[in-house]
Amino acid sequence: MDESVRKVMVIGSGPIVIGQAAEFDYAGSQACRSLREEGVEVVLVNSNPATIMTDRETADRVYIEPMDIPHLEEIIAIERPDAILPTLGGQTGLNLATELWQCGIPQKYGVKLLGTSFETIKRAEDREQFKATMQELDMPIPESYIAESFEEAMAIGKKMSFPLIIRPGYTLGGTGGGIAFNQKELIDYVTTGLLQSMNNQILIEECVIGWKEIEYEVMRDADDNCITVCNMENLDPMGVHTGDSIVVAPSLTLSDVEYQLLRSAALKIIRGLKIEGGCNVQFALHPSELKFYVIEVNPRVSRSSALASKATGYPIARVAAKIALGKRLHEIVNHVTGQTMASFEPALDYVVLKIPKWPFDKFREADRHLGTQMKATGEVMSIDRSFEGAFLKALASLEVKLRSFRTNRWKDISDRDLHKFLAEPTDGRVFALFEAIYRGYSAEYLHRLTGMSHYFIEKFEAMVKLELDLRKAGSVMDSKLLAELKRCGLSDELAARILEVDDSQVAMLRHQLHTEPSYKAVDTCAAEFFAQSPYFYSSYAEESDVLISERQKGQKSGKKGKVLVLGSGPIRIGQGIEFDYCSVHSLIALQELGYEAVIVNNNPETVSTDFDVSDSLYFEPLSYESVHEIIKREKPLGVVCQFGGQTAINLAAPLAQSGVRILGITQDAIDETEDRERFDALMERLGIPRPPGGTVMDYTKAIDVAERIGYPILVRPSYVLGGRAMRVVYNSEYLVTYIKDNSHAFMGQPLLIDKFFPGREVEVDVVSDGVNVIIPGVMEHIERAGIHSGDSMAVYPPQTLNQQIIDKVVDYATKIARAIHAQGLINIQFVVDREDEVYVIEVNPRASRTVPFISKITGVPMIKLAMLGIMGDSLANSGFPLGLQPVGDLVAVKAPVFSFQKLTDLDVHLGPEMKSTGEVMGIAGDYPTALKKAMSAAGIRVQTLDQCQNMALLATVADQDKDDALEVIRGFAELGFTVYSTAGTAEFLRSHGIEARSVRKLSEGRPHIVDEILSNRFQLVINTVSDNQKAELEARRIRREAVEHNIPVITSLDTAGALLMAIRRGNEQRMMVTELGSIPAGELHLAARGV
Amino acid sequence: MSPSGEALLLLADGYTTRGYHIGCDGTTVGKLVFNTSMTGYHEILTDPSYAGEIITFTFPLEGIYGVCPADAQSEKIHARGVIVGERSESGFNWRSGMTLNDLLLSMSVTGLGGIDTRRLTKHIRDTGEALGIITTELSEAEAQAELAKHPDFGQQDLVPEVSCNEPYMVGPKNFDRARLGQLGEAEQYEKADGEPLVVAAYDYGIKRGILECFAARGCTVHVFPCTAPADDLLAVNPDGIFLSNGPGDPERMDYVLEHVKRLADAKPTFGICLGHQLLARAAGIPTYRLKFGNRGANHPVIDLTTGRAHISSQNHSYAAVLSDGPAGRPAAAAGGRERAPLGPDRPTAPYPHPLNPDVLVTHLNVNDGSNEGLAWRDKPVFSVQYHPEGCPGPRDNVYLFDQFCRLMLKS
Repeated sequence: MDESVRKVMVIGSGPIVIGQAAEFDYAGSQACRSLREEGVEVVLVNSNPATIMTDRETADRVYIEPMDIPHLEEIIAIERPDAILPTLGGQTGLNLATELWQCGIPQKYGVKLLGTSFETIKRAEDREQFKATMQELDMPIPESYIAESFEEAMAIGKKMSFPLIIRPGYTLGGTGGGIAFNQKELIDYVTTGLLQSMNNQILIEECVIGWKEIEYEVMRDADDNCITVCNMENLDPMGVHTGDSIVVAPSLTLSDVEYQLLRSAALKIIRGLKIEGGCNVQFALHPSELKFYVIEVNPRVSRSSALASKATGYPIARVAAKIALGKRLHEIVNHVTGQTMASFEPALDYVVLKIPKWPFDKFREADRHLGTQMKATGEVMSIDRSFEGAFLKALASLEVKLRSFRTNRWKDISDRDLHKFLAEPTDGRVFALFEAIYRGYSAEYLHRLTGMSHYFIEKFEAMVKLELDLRKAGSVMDSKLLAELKRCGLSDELAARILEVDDSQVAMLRHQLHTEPSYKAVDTCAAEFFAQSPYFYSSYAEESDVLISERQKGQKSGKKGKVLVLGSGPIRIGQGIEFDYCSVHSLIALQELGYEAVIVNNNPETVSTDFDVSDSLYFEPLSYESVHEIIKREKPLGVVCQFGGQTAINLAAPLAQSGVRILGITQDAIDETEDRERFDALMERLGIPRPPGGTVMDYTKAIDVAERIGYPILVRPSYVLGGRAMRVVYNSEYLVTYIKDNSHAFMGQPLLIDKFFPGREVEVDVVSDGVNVIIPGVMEHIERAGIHSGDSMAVYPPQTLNQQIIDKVVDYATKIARAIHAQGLINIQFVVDREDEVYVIEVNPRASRTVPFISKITGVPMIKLAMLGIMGDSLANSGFPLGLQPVGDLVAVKAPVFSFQKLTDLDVHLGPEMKSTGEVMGIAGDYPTALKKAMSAAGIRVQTLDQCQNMALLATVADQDKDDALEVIRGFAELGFTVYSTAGTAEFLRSHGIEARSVRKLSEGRPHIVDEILSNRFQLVINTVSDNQKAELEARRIRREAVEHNIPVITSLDTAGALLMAIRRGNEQRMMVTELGSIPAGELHLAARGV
Repeated sequence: MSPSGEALLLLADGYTTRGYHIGCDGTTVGKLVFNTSMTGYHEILTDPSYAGEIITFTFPLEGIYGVCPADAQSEKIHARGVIVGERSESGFNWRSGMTLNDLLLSMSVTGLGGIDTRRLTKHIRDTGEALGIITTELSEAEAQAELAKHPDFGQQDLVPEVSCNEPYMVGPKNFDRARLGQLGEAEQYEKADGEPLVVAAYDYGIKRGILECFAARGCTVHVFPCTAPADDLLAVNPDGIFLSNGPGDPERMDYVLEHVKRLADAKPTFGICLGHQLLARAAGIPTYRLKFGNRGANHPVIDLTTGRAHISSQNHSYAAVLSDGPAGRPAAAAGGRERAPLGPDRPTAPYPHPLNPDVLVTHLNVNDGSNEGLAWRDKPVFSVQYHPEGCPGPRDNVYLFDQFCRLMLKS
């Protein structure tokens, strides 16, 4: 080991965006633990508060700061680390390391780079150097050329033949790239690609569409020892980003000759690049020749390495961290077996499947085509001993409710359209395949249309055949057919629905026939060695691997029993990494309280599915059937549902009905907060005001309610996540359109209608034991009501609320917590109108998105406290004062982060429906600085005062906002921004003394507003949404064009006002950074208290 | 759904399970072993070292990519039977000529599918390798009686069953050039006079992959039956001697030791697997039977000459001892293993074998500390327990063939 490295700085990956999700928190926190095991002090930098890696318990020194060069330099100057480990923070970490190096900062402070040298990063990331390196290594790569200008790109296009792949340099998840089948598409992709590339380079490449896409995860130590952890095969052939592909591990259709050919190539590459740690190599393998190309090399941990770790049990990040410190592979113990070494290659005795989770169910207008640009927000993983079993469990993990493999969306589609959907990948291609199989398309034909290997198509055929067999057998099925259904992973519920019988009937039959799942361990070695693995999956097989607690009878006798925690499944808009953060903390708290903590989850990107975070991990769907079977095996005292988002909450009712004890919140309380009428009654009983409204089952009655309470109104279906299909409606005409357009999303649920107050929004997370509450802090939203709380910026402590309002908020929150006898966490949202009247608008009896944010800035260990309440202890004994906690010296601002560039056609304006994928936090001694940090961390450029002189602002404001807009736009003008507007707005601004230039609307001839955007006229766009539908159409196009050209678009005047405040804050000589440990935190040692 | 009728597996200790039968109808008895490789069922089935054994694949899905004739390691399937979790019905790959089931049928091999191979693997791991019977026709009682008739597998010398009957010669011209290229890069060797290196090899059950590794380096190999006297091999005036892999217990093969000794004294010699064990025995280093064998493509081996660890392909139930104890080192608490993994106290350089200081221990298994390689201190002779040719498995160790070629050139 390198003894000179005693202090290491780890760079995180920042906010969650499409292409860079929770996997880097998983890798980062695992690596931090691994480094600290070796006695190394860890300095952690990440702007994302919703991460385990930014916990004080994970690293020695934690900085939640904007991830830019000035802040990083300041942290380096303060901490003086011996080395930086840049390979754990995804593309962000790698890019920052590159930038730091180019600025000479590590050199200046004598800091070295661990794991991967700067040279290696360049050789893997810079297209030209990559090409040269591969040629040196004699590794085949597709014919490709680099272009640095539009003209150059066109010239290259001429000498190659279509289709061509366009890839911008140094981007994440393939942002801005695509496959061009013709000249027009080439022009489009070259234009956006050049704009989005970090180094103004694009690569134009021979297209290997239809080849098999295979990945290898490789490790290498400083002695040049190499292993491959795992290989993976994409079901979708080349052409679909691997993050958007269904992936199986290990590869299934490769013979040993092909497998070893690529394995040897992967080892040669990692050796050639001299990477010390982990590396991901992507290959295109010809489907009918022994010929391959190297497509990409990621010299760092990645989404694929997280998947490979979970698929095999081999902790890549943990081992990579130790290698970075100079350990050899054969000197690192295999954590799973406890008695073999990390220098081996895991042997799997099961199949692993990953299916992406796309946001198209929420973003209906977004383009669903899949290509080189990743669009999925998350993924699920499943494990079984049959392909069908793994596949169907993955669908269940995605919470897809099927009645048949033939789904309504595809049933009535014409053959012509079906062909199109088979040939052009979209998120629904698997269901198009099922439909085609139903229609009798042959496997060979489907192979030709989709490029998928025959094996996979045959497996889909087998699933359809299974459904037909089941239909034929009817409910008189025998034990043999039932066993086959279960071997193939068909859920009881799906079987019942295929048979059109009551959901519970197949389950009953199954229990009568004693067909029960077995649980097998993931042990890295296919049972060759005896392993203490606590990591399980279900399979209908002959026997279960025993539980550790049973093996170690007596040894853990100190334990008080088991508690099952339900995780939150795949990351999706509205249910993100925050819930995994909460789940992980609940596991830690349970263990500290002396319980055995068991978790069920299916998201491979997360910390909660790291096998040593819980006492037992079940990688299973979060469905009633799966969870119920696990409960039968584990026999926990009860189940905790409140940390796993809506996914877990939804399981509370069926589990409670079957006699399972739900710990913490009761089903009745959940119902009381979600059922409109009961909630209204409760608020009335407690004397708490709430906006008037009503519930209708008959959607046509919505207009009556709206007219009774008066417009504007907020409408939404009940029981939804992230405000899906939620709208502010200003008139009856729009209400009718809304109902017509969204009835599919209502799914037979009642429609809720509330009076909409455009006031200030306030939010609290309350810890409760049913009697006492602890409120860590009150958060004030920066944007007015009307924007989903997940998309608004928020500040703690509140900046504009008087004591009276805060008292009311605390009083109402306390009353509600007591009235529903909440044990654990509840989140309550309020709106404050112009008269300072406080209304409750929403109560969620579960952990919320803001828990990590508020925990971190207040230092209150919320989940630990919540766990006390859940397990029946009194908060009065916690050592924390009851009620609202005192406010500290710092101000923290939370800002949302969006992935709009990845989702073409999606409208970027903010409203009641959530659109953000992640969040960042800015901490400072004063509000404007915190705001500035949060905004710049969120990727909104906060200009310096001098820069403002050369900036241009495009302001297009809806009529109803014009008065409010005046002050904001005046502010920008005063800072030196040149203001552009369409004629009407410009006139209005000029009449109020603001010098504004006119631009043409789309209908007013050229150059019009979009031409101006394309020619980079503006550096900022402020655009508010109008209820005039025609104006809206144009506004939408403006917003979209701006986003695609990397111009920040602000759709709320409050956000614009905040930006103004941040800019006015001005430039500092020196960045101020805050180490999290300097925030006073309350101490709560559960174990020590002997509860 | 079972694609065919039922089959029964029964072990002498009473372990039973039922699944569907694959390959031929009938009854077969063999030593139950498991292999953890996730690819390469065809290579494994056709590896002569599996003679007398019933192979359990721990990876549950077999047959997916069919069977490509070029991958076969010998003319036939030498294993007595095969057990899989799920047999793929069709098997498709552009290189493939037939399905796994076709292959089993054409070779008259009986197998069992649709069972919990993890349960069986754990049983073998915990109770040791034992005889088992697969039958599509006998009742449980009948199967038990049939099994009782078979002697312990250790008693039999299986090598004559798989060795060639007549000597033959193969060189680069006998192999498809493209195929050799696909198996990895190889340096070309020739003698000063431009002639190819000549290897005389004992065929104890030689894998085609080994011959390919020699061919890829430009060597001509004269292959001899296991019973051939040393003089026959020397008569072709070889540049080196090769001792191949093969099935069974090396203790049953003392009849070859005298010849092996003579050859190793005379020429550069390289042994793989059984060949390694025989070289050890010829040098006075005994062999012993492992509780269960190492079979798979993921076993780490440390080369003490370089300090580097390599992933190897392995297939053996016997090993050469490391010291005078019956199992090398005292039995450690390692679950199911005779010895413990290599810890920080591991040797850092080749060291003389305690039983014969003229022989150096050069390679050790990282997982269980067992002997993986020997080299003769003053002679160009070395051997490894694992399979540098892969087939199936990693080809990280083909450098040993280069090492051997260089030794031959030097002598």
